[in-house]
Amino acid sequence: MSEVNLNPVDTSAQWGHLPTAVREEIDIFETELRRIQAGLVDEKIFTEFRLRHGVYGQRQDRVQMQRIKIPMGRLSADQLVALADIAEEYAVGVLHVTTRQDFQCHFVDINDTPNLMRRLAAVGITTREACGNVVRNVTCCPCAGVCTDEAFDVAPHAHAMAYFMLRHPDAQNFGRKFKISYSGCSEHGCGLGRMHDIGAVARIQDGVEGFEVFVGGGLGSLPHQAKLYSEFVPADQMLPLAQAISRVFARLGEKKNRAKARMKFLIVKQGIDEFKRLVEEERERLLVDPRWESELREALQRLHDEPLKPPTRLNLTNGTAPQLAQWLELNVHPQRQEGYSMVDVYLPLGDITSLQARQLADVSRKYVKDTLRTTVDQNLLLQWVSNADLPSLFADLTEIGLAETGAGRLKDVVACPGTDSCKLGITASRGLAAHLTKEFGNGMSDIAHRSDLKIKISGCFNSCGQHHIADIGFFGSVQRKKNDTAPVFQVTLGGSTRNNAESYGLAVGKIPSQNVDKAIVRVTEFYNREKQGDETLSDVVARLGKTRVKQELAEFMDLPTFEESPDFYRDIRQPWQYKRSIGVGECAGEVVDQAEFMLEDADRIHFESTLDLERDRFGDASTKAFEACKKAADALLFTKGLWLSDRYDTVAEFRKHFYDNDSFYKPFADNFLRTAQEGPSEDFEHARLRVEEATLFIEAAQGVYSQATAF
Amino acid sequence: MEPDLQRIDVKLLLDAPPNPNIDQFLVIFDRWRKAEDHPADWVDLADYAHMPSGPGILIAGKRDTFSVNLNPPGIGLLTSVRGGLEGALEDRFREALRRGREFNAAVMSEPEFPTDFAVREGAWEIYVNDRIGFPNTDQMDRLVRPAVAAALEVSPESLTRNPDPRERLGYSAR
Repeated sequence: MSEVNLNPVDTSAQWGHLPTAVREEIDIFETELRRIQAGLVDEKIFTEFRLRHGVYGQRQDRVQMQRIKIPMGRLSADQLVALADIAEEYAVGVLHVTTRQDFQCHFVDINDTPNLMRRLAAVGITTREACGNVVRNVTCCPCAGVCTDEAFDVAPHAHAMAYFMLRHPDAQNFGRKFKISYSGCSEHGCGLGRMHDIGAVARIQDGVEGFEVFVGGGLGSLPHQAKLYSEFVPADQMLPLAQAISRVFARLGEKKNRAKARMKFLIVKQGIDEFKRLVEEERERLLVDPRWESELREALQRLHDEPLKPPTRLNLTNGTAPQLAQWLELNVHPQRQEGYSMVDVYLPLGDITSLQARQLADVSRKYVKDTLRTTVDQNLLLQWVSNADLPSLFADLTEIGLAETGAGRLKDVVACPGTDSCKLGITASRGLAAHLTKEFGNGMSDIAHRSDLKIKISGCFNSCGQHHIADIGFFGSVQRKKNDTAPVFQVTLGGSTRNNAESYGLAVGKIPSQNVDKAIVRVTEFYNREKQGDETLSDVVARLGKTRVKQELAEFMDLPTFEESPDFYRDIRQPWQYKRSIGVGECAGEVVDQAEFMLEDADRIHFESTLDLERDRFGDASTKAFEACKKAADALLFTKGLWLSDRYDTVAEFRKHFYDNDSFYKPFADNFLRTAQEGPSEDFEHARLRVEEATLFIEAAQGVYSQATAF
Repeated sequence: MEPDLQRIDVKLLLDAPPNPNIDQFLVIFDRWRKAEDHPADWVDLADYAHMPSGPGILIAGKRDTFSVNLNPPGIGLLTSVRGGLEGALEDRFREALRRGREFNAAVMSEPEFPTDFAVREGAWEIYVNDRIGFPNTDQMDRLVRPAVAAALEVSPESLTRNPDPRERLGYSAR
């Protein structure tokens, strides 16, 4: 095995065009990658560290899934091209759109991730905080700004929130992930506000723009509907509110029991009124941050979409081709702005090839100006298409295989990765989705374009496929018969994405994977038959009761023995015998205390100081040695409730909390306090001494931290 | 100094019926992935057959990924080399082709290999899968074309280069 290069990575020569802070952040990622490969970093800390850069371990050993944040799903043509290129060179040539409007690439070698991140950074995309116990991608209606029903354009507000919370020191010590969404209206499901930790729904009150705010929603194995926090929060108060909520969650949220660590459990435990009191108290204590105002102001100034072409009318002749007519009916939606339309680009299973993505970038440049969006239904959307262009846009999309109808319809099945790549997957949710997609083009084509029902599939009970909010949901499970295990899906009926995910479905029974397509047909027939007036499936299920519904599906629930029908013991699109195999998921990340990250940072900076010393860069060595000690001191101060956003004086607070009360070994603390007064030194002897003193100080800090957190 | 080329895609085109059914490759690759100590260092198979012009069905490895691939210009057997290349450029292309031919022969000898699929002899697509080191420029074409031609044992002039500078540097040989 070749020796790992432990020099700190510095790519300023090749990647000097990137913003310095972003470049340095990725350089540190690569340095840490080398350090873990050399065995110098605790694996638990590195796992959460890489997750916070979007690098996620797949079910398969030694390959990674790279998740890439697309805040609000807003995408430019240049960004789509960069994404296409990295998917082609570092993955398998496919970009997958997720239910959080992110992109994912699979089968990535971790050693490729630093350059992958740099190439994305060059077009303004970050992978930072795409996974891990942090604020995940902030989602938003893809129709924001052009929707006919929105109260106002929420995209700038979501943008301000996304970039305010990104890397925010108060959002780095959660016990679990944290999700925020913005919706432009309360009626539709684009933002899915009620299944988020913070769901903001636009409202105008007395002429003032603001949000109805829901908190503590979430799916997972124990889904919770978000609770109303406030009927109206003025738009300019959203960032401090989110900061205060983050601090309460970080301080009081569960850290040990992973299954109870989402904020929804904290709210249940405290009660919404007490939670609200705690947040308001925290809000009062916050130091005023100029970014509360500047982030929103800049977003409002920057995020103004413009059309490429003037508004026009679509004049169709009687001889319009049926394919075009169907596409116009199903994929095209009028904008608030007369003369323009939104166009759905349906992606089967959320997948688009690199070649198609580059071609779509060209198409979008021809018709619109950087107004591409990813959607929570795993599709793409083009805004600001001038109406007269629709027929030629259809022709161009047909040319690149992206004019298929079906977005938002029954055939538009949402599925998590399942056993294809997720460690927690029990069944092949993508295999089932692929099978259904094929069937919707064949035997089930008569129901494929229904708009009153949606299907969502999860490969296990964790609901990454959002089965709870589907009219017809499925989650993966197993069933044994004699000594054989078969893949099955629990059916959940009665969920809904309407009104920002207003209702969650309930399980009605298990169906073998091989029978799911037949069960779907039966549910649609049952709904047609039993529906009264404008009842939803959820209404019908509630009226008739689960027993009645279960009877309807009973014939599909029976699992034959292996001897009777071996096919039932194979998963969909997996022609081998099923074997249940699950690992430890990374969705929850590792709970790594913020102080542990700081101590690891201290270690890394200290190591760099030793290299500087070796290279006769004495000034740098002594500066870094002190910086490393300061980082270690900050780590300890964090355990005393001091947050970096509190803008405290590290040396003064260290003296107060650790020196004056003798809780840190005095000689080592003396060195730190002395160095703080003396400043850096260019002298070799001094620099060497500082580096050695730093070694002892950091060791002692780690000891104090271990004692403080021992239980 | 020449960049260290480690990523080469070589695809041999197939003749197949329209909308070919490639599901049998799931069976083949399921068997392959169980092989221990294979030089490609197999990780797992992946199924993208739902994409009519996509990566098809593949078996991903740490060193190489092999697939029945549906991307334009058409169905073919694609070997994506990700590492383990050394020597002069020509040697690296030769090695990528050697691995490709080896995988192709192996898959075609499998009993499940569709009988209505046939190899189009000599119809290769070769891509340099590294835009940073080998951008699709005239200058890079002058460096790479002779090496590809030598590895394929054809004349450099017989290779058709993809002219779009945003695409990977790539050649069609017929």
